[in-house]
Amino acid sequence: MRIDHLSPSFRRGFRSVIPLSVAGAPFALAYVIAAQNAGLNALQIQLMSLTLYSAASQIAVVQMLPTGASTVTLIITLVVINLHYLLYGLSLVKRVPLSPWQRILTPFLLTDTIYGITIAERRNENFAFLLGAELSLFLCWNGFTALAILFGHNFIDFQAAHLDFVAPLTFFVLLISVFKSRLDMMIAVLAVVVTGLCLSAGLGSMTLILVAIGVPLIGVGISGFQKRQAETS
Amino acid sequence: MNPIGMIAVAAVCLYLCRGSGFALNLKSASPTWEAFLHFVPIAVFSALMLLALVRAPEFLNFKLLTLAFAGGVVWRTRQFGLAVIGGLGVLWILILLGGSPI
Repeated sequence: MRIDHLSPSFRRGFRSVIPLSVAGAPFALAYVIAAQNAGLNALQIQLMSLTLYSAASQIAVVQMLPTGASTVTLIITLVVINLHYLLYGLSLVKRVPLSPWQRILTPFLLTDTIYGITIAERRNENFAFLLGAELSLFLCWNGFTALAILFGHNFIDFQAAHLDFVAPLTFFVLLISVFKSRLDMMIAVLAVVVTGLCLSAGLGSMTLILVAIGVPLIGVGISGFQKRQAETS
Repeated sequence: MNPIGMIAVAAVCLYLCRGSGFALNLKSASPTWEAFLHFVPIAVFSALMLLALVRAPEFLNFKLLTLAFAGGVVWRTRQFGLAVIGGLGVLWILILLGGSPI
């Protein structure tokens, strides 16, 4: 594979996610606020953006820190939050020709946005585009994290500005973006109800795990039932 | 566990999640498994949203209105940043115009 062949795709990938990466700014701010509230220092906050590189996971981890959650709870929570990456990997391997070392490198910087933009067009389905897009988004995310650490408190009174609301707002916006059918909306409502019931029952940090495994199982059951109904009618 | 240890465990865990599909290299996943994986982010984001709302319940009525607004924005435009920043702006306006916290 020649570098002069790779470069245009790499540059196109790098440029194509820059407008999307701007959306990361409030997410980075939400993460930094949550991390500072959890007692992390600037180095730890940036280290998490460099090594985890996932807004949802980073916010989930910092929310678990003050609760003294166990390692097992942490791992199970992260696995259930990121289980869908398994499907992304399966899909990308089928669409993008990747050498063994590219299969090792690609997952480190994979995000929902990168997967979405790569499969959006046939010409994007190559490693150079994928790597360009991944590096672009990674640099932007870490840049936004650094800016939020350095300047966030200088400009904004977080408490007065109600910036803690950015976390539920972020999750809600992500939720809406993954809706594809009426059943998806039903499952979201069900997840909210089950979460509320778990909280009322005092299940604490187990709530997320129960919801993340139990509710999708119910979703699978309902979608299977709907398919059987459609086949018989 | 100290924060650095927690970050290291989380980083390894996340990499393994991201790399699992690349390592498995299956020709295709079963429809049941694909359906399960499809519903996982929906359930998780719903739960995380409620958990975060419960932690800071003041101005709850305004926050619910704001979520409806942000949901409409992202549904129509697919612009995440616009929905989050716009949502926050709407909350500030509602609090500025509205009454005491609920």
